[in-house]
Amino acid sequence: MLLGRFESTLDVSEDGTIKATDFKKVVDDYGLEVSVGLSQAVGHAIVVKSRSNEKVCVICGPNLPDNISIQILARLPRIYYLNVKLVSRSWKNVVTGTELFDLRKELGITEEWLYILTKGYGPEVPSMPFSKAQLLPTAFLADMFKPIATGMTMYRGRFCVPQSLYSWPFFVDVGGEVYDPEPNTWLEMPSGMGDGWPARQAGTKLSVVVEEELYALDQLEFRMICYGYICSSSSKILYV
Amino acid sequence: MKDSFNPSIEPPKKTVTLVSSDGYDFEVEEEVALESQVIKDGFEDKAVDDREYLLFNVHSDTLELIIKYCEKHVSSRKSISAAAASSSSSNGEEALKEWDEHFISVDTNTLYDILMAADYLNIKSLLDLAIQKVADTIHGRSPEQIRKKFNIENDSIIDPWASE
Repeated sequence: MLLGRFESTLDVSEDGTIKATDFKKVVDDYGLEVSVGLSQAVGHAIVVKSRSNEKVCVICGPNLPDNISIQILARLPRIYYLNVKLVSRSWKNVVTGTELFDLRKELGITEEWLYILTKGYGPEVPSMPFSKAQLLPTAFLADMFKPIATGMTMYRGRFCVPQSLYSWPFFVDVGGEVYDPEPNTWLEMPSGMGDGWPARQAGTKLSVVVEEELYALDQLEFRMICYGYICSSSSKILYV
Repeated sequence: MKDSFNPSIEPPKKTVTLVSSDGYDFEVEEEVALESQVIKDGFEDKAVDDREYLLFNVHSDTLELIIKYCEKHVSSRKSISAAAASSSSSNGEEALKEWDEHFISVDTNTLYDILMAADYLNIKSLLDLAIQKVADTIHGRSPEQIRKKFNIENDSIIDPWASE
């Protein structure tokens, strides 16, 4: 049982009793076996708590079926699950189990940061051709130099990936490739851009897009390079 | 109204009888009852003069609300598609959303009853609406508040930071 019956209230008359008809209505409505007392009863029973003479609190079954409870939990934002975990063991089990996440997937409520990784650029993007690596002149070189992607950034709606060939301890920059969603293909990065996308260390091709301009960090010369429009090969160099 | 234009064209409305758990009869139009997938599933097999459904799990108070919901959705679907056909601008979907929001803003007991009935009758849009509403009432509460609201016994391990 995940969620118990919500609380309901019955009015109490001035002499502190509940009207039998009211009580019977609740009992009849839910087809309950009644147990009345001050102790907490579980599940399909009724608990009557008398607080002075204002109101009586009735908690009655049946409980929410678990399949509905899970659907409810699936609709909560994931960050809130930290809290949910602390409610009870059964809640914790649900939140840490796979059923809930399968359901979230089904409902399409995987959250944005997950969404980008799993769905936005997932199966629909054809794999990167890495054409430069295929042009290596000999089988020996092709075997020796492994192609690696050394950065990535979104720029003007396209997905830019600078590339290097790598054979420890050497890195050779070989430009890069750009995924354009419009024709749904990978194109070679314009030469002014790929070659200039500097830093000969793998994974450190740092770049950022500010106000639609692409800036990359040249680590060797300690300068920022600002690239012009992706179609032109010219690039401005900013020293910092 | 439309009826006064050409009354002969409108066929007599077919109706279905729904009987609540406490024994009240509700006569509703066929298309309204068919909003429930459960009724729809067995509908064709049932004889025309025997279109009566005993809903053992739905109290008359709840059934009244459910019928109100289904009627609203059937009628606004019609007006939305009519507006689309005449390509006149309409904010029908927006209005329906607002109506839904207002409809489901009920006390927790009623919400629970609607939830159970929508599940029992398999009315998907209403079930989704009710589930979302309950989720909204959970969101933002502390574990203790959730336990209290939903009558859950605290059987958690005492140290929440204990390693798993």
